[in-house]
Amino acid sequence: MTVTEDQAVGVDTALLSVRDLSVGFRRREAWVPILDAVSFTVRAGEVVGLVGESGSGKTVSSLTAMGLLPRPLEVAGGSIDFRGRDLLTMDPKQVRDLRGVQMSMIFQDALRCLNPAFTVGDQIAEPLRVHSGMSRAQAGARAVELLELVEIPRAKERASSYPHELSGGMCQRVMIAIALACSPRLLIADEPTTALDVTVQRQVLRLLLRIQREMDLGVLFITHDLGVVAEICHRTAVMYAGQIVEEGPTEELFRRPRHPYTHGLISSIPRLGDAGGRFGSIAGVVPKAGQWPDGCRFASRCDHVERGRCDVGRVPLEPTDGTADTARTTGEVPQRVRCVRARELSLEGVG
Amino acid sequence: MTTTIEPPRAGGAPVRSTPHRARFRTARMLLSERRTRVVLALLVLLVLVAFVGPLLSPYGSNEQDLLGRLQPPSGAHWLGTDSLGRDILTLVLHGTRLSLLAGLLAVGTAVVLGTPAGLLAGYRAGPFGAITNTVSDTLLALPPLVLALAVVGAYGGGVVPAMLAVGITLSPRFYRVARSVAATVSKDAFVEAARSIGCSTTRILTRHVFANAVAPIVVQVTFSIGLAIIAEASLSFLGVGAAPPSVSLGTMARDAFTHIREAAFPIFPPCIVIAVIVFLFSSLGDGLRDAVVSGGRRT
Repeated sequence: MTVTEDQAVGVDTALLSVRDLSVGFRRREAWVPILDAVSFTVRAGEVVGLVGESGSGKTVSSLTAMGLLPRPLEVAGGSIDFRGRDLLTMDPKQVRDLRGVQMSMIFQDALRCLNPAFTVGDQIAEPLRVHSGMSRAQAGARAVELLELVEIPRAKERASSYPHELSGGMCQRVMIAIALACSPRLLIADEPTTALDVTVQRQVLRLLLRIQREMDLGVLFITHDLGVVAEICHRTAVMYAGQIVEEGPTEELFRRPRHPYTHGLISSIPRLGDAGGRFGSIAGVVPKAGQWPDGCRFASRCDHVERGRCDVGRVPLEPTDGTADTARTTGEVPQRVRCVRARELSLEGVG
Repeated sequence: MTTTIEPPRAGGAPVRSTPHRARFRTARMLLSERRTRVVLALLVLLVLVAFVGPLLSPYGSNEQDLLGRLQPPSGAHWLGTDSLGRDILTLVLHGTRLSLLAGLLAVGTAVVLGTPAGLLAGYRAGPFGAITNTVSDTLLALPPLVLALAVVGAYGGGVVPAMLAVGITLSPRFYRVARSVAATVSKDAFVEAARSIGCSTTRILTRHVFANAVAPIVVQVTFSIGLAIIAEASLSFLGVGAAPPSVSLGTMARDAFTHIREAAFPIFPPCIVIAVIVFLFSSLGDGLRDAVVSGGRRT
C-alpha cells in the first residue's frame, strides 16, 4: 500500500485518527488484504457511523483501533493516532493501560461478553480495580452508581445478580456500564444493538446517546443498520470490501448519496407507506478478501458500471463537487466518494 | 440528530427476582443435593473427631503397656490394644488425622502443580502446551505407588516426601481439568471483553478463566483425596511411609497383620476407618460432580 490517497482531516481536534490502515494475513506466501488503506477520524463529542455489509472490514477496523487484532491478522501499514499518539508504535503494555481507561469497547452479544462466574457488580468494578486501584468497597459502590447511570432499576440489588439472571437489554446496559467505568474519551460500539429486539434496541440507543452527550464521548458506531445510523450518527463512513467508499455528514449522505453502493443500502431500508412494493436490494455478494478486482470493487454489482472506466485502475477516494471548498472554510470534513462516475450520477436519497 | 431522551422508565426490561445470597453461588450449586450435604456433614464430623479426639483421649499415642498387649475391646480400651499394648482407639484417632493431612498435602501439591500449567496450556496453544502435555501423559503412565516408592527410596522415608511424590502423580488430573476449561473459555467472548477493558493475560487467567474452573477442580479434589489417603496407607503398610513415633492407619494395619495369628481383632479398626474415609470422599465427589453436570438444578 504505497498510495497515500486519503488525507487525514482535523488531526488536531481528532480523538482517534486512523490513517491508511492496511490489515491482512498471510496465506501460503500470498498476502490476503482485509483492510485497504482505511482512514477515518472520530473527534471528541462526535458519533461516527461505520456502515457496511458483513465482511466489509468494519469489525477488523475497530479491533485494530483497540489493539485487539486477533492472531493471524497483521497490520501492514498506516497509523492509528489516539490523542496524538500512534497506537501501532506504542508499547503493547501502554496500549493495554489505555484500554478501558481512555478507550472502551462494547460488543454485539452482551450476555456472552459477561463472565458467567461473577456478579455484574464485580464485573463493573473490575476496570476500576485494575486501572485506578480502588478498594473493593469503593469500586463496589461506584459500580452501583454506574448501574444507575445506565438506568437499571434497583441498581443495588442488581449488582449482585449474575449475567444469566438478566435480560439481553440489561446485559447490554451492564456492558455499557463496564465500558464507561473509567470515564473513557472514546467508545467503540460494535453492533451493540443488533442482537436486541426492536423496542429494547431503541432504549439502549437512547441511553447511549444520552451518555454520549453528558460525557462528551467520541463514539465509533459500527452497524449494518442504516436506520440507526440516520438517527444517531453525526458523520458516516460506508465500507465495502475493505475500503471506505463514501464518507460525509450523515444528513448529506442520506439526502444525496454519491456512491451507487450507498444508494443501494439506502434504498434497501424498508419504509412506511411502501406497502406492497418490494424492498430494494443489491444483487450478488461482497467479493471475498483476496478476490478483489483491480478497479472498482463494487463494479460487479453496480447498475451504473461502465466498461473501460470502472474496471481499470484503482479508484481514489475524492471530495465530492462543491463540498471541498465549503469544507475548507468551515473546517468540516468534506463528503468524499470512491467512484469514477460520481459526478455524472444523480442518485436518489431520502429526506 | 434531534432525538429527545425520555426519562428513564422504571422497570426497563423484565427481571427475575434475585436470590439473596448470590455471593456463594458456586457453593450453593455444589451442595444443592441433600445426599451431598449429609456426606459433607459426616466428613466435617470426621475431621473434628480426628483433630479434637486425640486431645480427649486418656492415653497417649505412644503409651505402651507391654503386659496388656493385644487385648480385646473392654471398658478401659474400647477398641482393645495393639501388639505394644497401645490403645487402638487413640491410635485410630491419630491415624485418621495423619491420613487427612497426608491427603491434603498430596492433593495440594497436585493442585498447585497441575492447575496453573493447565490454565496456561489451554489458554494459549503453543510450545508450552506441547511440553506440558507430554509431561502430563508421562506422569499418567507411571503407577503412583511405584513413583512414590522410588522417591522414598532415593530421598529417605517419611510421609512428606512420599505424599509430595503422590501429589506429582496426581497433578495430571488437575492439569487436564484446568486445560479443558481454559481451552473452552478462552474462545468465549467475555475473554475478549476482559482484554478490551485492559486486563493482562495473568489477570484473565487467574480471575476470569480460573473462576470457571473452580467447580470441576473441587470435584477432582474430593476424588483425589480418597486416592491419596489410600496411597498413604499403602506406603505406610509397606513400611516406607509414616515411621514411628508418628501413627498411620497403614502402620496400624501392618502391625495387626504381623500379629494376626495372636489376635485377629486389631486389623479391623484401621481398615474400616480407611474404607469409611475413602467412601465419604468419593461419594462427596460423586455428589459434587452430579451438581456440576446438572448446573445445580434439581432433577
